Order: sequence, then structure tokens, then C-alpha cells
Amino acid sequence: MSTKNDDHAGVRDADRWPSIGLSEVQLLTGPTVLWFTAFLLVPLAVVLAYSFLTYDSFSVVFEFTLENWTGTVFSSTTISVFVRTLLVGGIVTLLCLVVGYPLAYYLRFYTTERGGILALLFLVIPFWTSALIRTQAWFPILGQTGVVNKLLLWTGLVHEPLSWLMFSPFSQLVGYLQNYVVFMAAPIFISLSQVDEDLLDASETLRGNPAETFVNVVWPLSKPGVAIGSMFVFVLSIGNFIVPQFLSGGESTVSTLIYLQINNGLNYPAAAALSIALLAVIFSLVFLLLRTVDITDIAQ
Amino acid sequence: MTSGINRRNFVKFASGAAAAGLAGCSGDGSDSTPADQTDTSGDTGGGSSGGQTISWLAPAWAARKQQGTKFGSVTNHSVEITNNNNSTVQQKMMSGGNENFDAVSHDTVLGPAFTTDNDYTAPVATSDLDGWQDGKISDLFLNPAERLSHLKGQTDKIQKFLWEDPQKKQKLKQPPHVFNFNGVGLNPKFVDTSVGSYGALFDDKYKGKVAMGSVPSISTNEVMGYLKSNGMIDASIGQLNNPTKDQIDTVVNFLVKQKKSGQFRSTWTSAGQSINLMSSEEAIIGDLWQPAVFAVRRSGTPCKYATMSKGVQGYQFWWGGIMPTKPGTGGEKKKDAVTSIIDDVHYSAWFPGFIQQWGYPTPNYPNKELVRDGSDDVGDGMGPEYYDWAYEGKKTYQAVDKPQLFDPKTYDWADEEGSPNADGQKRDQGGIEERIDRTALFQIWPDNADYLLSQWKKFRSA
Repeated sequence: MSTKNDDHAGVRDADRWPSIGLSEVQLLTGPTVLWFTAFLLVPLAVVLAYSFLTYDSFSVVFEFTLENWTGTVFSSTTISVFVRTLLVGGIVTLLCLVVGYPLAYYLRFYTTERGGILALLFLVIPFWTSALIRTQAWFPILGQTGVVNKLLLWTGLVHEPLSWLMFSPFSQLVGYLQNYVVFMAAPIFISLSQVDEDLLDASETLRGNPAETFVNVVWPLSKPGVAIGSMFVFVLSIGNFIVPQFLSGGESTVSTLIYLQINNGLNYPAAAALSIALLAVIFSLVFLLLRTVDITDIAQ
Repeated sequence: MTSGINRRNFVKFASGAAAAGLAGCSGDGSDSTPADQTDTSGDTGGGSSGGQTISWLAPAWAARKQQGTKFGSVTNHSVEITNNNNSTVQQKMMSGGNENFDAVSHDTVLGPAFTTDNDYTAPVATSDLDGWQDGKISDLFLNPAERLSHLKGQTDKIQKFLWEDPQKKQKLKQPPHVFNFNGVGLNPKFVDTSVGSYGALFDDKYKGKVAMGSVPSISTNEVMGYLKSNGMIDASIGQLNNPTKDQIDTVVNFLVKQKKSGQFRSTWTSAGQSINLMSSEEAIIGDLWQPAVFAVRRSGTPCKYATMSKGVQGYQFWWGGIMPTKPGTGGEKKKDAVTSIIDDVHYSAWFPGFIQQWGYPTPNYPNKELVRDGSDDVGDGMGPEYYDWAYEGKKTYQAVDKPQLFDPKTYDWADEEGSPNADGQKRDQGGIEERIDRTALFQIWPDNADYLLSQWKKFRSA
């Protein structure tokens, strides 16, 4: 039984409700905002500021300059490296899609739900070890004296080891695929898991063959997963340092150029300019992707 | 064997007396020596009350756990070693490391950034170093202008990096503890063992099989030597290690052309990469560092460190030093401890044999009485067979079946005098004086480094 005082208290609470709501919003978002400000925006601002500072033999001089942008980022060498890096990112994304989609499709429609999740978890097992070891592990497999070449020689299919298996675009693609196919397959699997199987039956009832069902039903519904997977793979691959460093024949990507700037001469301003430029390119591409596909569909 | 009371003995005896006194006061009465009381936790050497614990920042080639352990066993000090790669050591030093570490080690390429260009290290007086005496230290350091006179103007930088006071020569800016001569490593299964120049890296015979270093300040030098000896560049011996912008352009354009033609199997930026390339036989020849050669052998792949020719395609000389930082973490006391680790451990009888396992000579090799035949508190010297093999270019006393797999770390070196075996192994590159004679370059960070790095991107991205 309520009392008069309780009623008054209720009225007071109701009066205060809007202000309490505002503070709750602030309390809920505050930590996140603070976190991102402290550990993302401020560091990025520092990196951006460094990109306009002068470099002088191992030292950063606090004098404004555009040299790191005009002389480094917009040099023909760097632009060609950017083009190569984006090309690599695009090819790797496409490759991961070609391999990852059928994998996700199989796990969704040809295994049980639990089996699919379990299989995806198995794909994560290699990530329990370091990226460096995962990359170096290709040496005894693809190298001149590696398993593949020995097998080919033993079977007589080749008479001398295939040199293009290692330190080549091929070995890089293999390295990227190993690292990132799970980042493509997992979101697609989740996307496909949301597909109502009645829709597939309806397509069949309407005399749609499997290909038409895929094109008109499954593919559109899986696009959010494809978009998220592509975003992951593209961003991760163009920022990858280990694969181009260890599996290429010495060709640079933007990340290895950044490493070169730091590792030889401690040229932080030039490295900062390259980093910001890479970030801007990635951000633009992700923005364009998100304008094309509504990834919030995956949560519905 | 050294005898009498020198500074090392004095330190040991004094700390022993102090420890005994402390033990008496506490009523412990144990018959312990400072060495027994050492704290050997982690990668530190020992240390007892009254001693200093110094922190030493160094690449792994310069500072290993055993050096710290020895330091603790012969003094009442201890050391905490932090190993990072070359560029990280430099990076840490240039961003406040001089206040967080007491000692730092580096080579003559990246070290001068904080020893010469910036005032982050303190000089060490030769009067504080028992091991630094005429006749006991190589002329490479005591008299480089004469010993390396064929390098002409390059020796100016040796004097500049070595001495705080090049005229008086009383204070060492970068006291050396190891040095070496870089050259070409090759797999004798596939490559003619008479190779003796950097030109082999660009020989069509080895197309697609070359491990090419991508360390601009070093790789440029070897290409300069090759181009000069073939009349493809206008350069003088005195500035072979310090190219002009035009020379850098010529070198980079040459390397880009070579890379695009498929000459290189891959490029390497760390010793580990070069080891992988050679041990897996992906590459059969490359510009390697000495420890990499031994590491390739230890993986079971034969490897020979080529004897380089005299002249501009000869070895690249560098040294690594141990420097007290300024201000460091503990003032003069810690600086004294750093001086102690330089002198007591690294100019000892034990260190030359230890570090020769990775192929590095030490500056005190002329002190044969100590290094070859002697011993001291730190340990035994190399002994006649090991010393003569390492420094005199003599063969081992025992026959060696597979000389290109020979490992000084596992070979059983004789303690007594003996005779070289006709089928014994002779150290690659020969005796030390021969190596010095065949030196073509002194490795430095060139004056036009900024331009070099900006151009090097062309090579990296080709």
C-alpha cells in the first residue's frame, strides 16, 4: 500500500527522470568516449602532428614542414607502392572470398549448427601461435627443399625445384590466405545462419533452380557478412607487415616502407605521414563499402 | 696468468673483505665469498651488498647472458641485460635510454648517433682500463691511420668514433669489445669457393640465387666497391664508405636493375632472414654477417665465409663497444661498474674464446700472454690451438672431415701446444692480419643518409 510520502517521492522521481536519463547516457557512453579519445584520437593527433615535423639524422626537430608529405607520401615511388599495396589487398580479399564463401556455405547448409561453429573454431587454432611462426612455417613446405618440391621431384612431375613457390606473389597469396580466410568465412557464416530456410523452400516452390536460389535469395542475404569479411581482410592485409617481409622477394608494401623509415634512421615524421596516408586510404575505402552495403542487416 | 694485485683482484679482495666483515657483524660466520653470495636470478650476473647493479642495453651480438654471469662472479657487481635489435637499441637511446640504462652497446654505424652526434654517453679513461695498453690492444684501434693506411680518409672517422680526445688519446668514446670484417658467404655445394669479391653477388651464374642485404648504410658500400673496381662509378677509396648523392643514385639504379632482372632470390634486413635463406638453400650466396655463417652451418648446410680480395672489394670493418650512459641511473658509482665490466670481463682471458664462437675477434688479441696462453679470474684463455686457428690462420690439430660445417663451438680445442694437421680446418678468411690487410671499408652512417634512405625506397619497392 502506498503512502502519501511514497506518492510524492514518485512524483519527484518522475520530475527528475529526464535529467537522470541524460546522465545515464553520459555515464554509459562516457567510458567509451574517454577510451577512444585517450587511446585513439589523441595518439592519432600526435602521429598527425609528427607528420609535419622536420627530420634531421636520427632526430625530430620541432619545426613545421610539408616535406614528409610532398617528398615522401606523394613521391612517385610511394604512390606506386600504395597502388601495389591496394592491389594486393584487393586480390587477397577476392581470393579469401572465393575460398571463404564456399567454406561458410558448406558449414551452414551441410553441417549442423554446432558442427559449423566447431569447424570455424578449428580454423582459429593456428592463431594460437604467433603470426611470425605461421609465416615462417611455409619455408619447409614451399621452399626449394620443402615438402611440395620434394614430392614433385619424387613423382617426376618436375626435374628441378619450382622456385616460384617461395619468395613470390604466389607465396604471399598463400600466406595471406592462411591468415585471413577465417576473417572472411566467419562473418559470412553468421550471415548465412540468419537465412530463413523457408525462403529457400519458397524459391524451390517457385521453380527456382539452385543457382537462381543462390543468386536471388542466398547471396543478397549474405551480403552484410561478405561486406564485413571483405572489410576485415582488406584492412588487415594492406596493413600486414610479416607476409611481405618474409614471403616476398623483397618487394615493399606501405607497411614495409614504414618499417624502413623507422628501422633505418628513426625517421618518425616520414613514417607518421605514411601511416596517416594509409589510414586515410583505408578509411575512405571502408566508408565507400559501408555506403554500398548495410552491415547492420547482419544483426537483424 | 696475470699475477699480483691489479684492479680486478683488488675489487675482488676488497669486496671479499667487506663481505667477511658483514658476515662477522651479523654473526653468520659462513665462509662465503662474494661470488657465492651473488644473485643469479634472471639474466643477471651476481652482486652482493655494496656492489652496483647496472642495466645494459645492447643487441644480442654484443651482450649475452654469460658475459653478465662472469661479471657477477668476478666482481661484487651485477648486470641486467636488455637485448633488442640494432635499431631498437638506437631508438631507445635516442628517446631517453641514457636515463634508464647505465650502459649501452652498439656498432660504428648506429652507435655514433648517441656517442658522437648526441651527448648521451660518457667517455672511459684508458687509465681506468688495465687491459688497454700498448702492445696488448690491436693497432686497428691504437693506430688505425697507419694500420689501415690503405683506407686513407676513412680512418678519420675511426679516430672520431673511438676517441673523445683524438689528439691525446686518453679517453675512449666507444670502447671496443668486439669487431669484425663483413664479407660474402657462400654454399660450396653450388658456388665456386674461389669467390672473393662482391661482384659474385651480381654474377649471372648465380641469378635468382642471391641473398642481398637491404641495409642501406651497409649494402651501399659493397656495391660502391664493386662498381668502382669495374670503372662504373667515380669514387675514391677515402670516401668509399660515405657516398655523394650522385654516387647513391648510381648505386640504387644499379641495384634496382639487378633486382628487376631477377638476380636476387630475396632481400634480407635481419641476420635471421639471411640465415633462413642460406640454410634452406633458397639462396646459395649472399652478403652475410659472420655469426650468420656459423648459424647456417649449425643448421646442417655448408657455408664458407669467402676470403675477400685486396682492394676496394675487400672486407667491411666495424666494431662494437660498451659505453657508460650519461647520466645513467646512478652517477659515478655505476659508471665505475660499467668501466669494470668493460675491463674485467671483456678485456679478460676468457672473453676472446667465448665470443669467437660467433666469429668475432676482440681488441686484446695481441695480448697473447693472456688471451692465448694465460688465464685470470674470469677464466682460461683460448689455448694455443684455438688462438692460432682464430688469429694466426693455422689449421686445427685434428683432421676435419667437413670443413664447411666446422663449428668452433663444438670442436674439442687442445689445451697443450700441438701441430696443425694437414687435413685440419683453417678458419675462413685466414689470419687476423690478413683480414685487416684486405679491409676496404669502415662501416659508418653516411653523411648523405637522408638522401640514401629516400632513394633506397626505390630499391625496396622495385
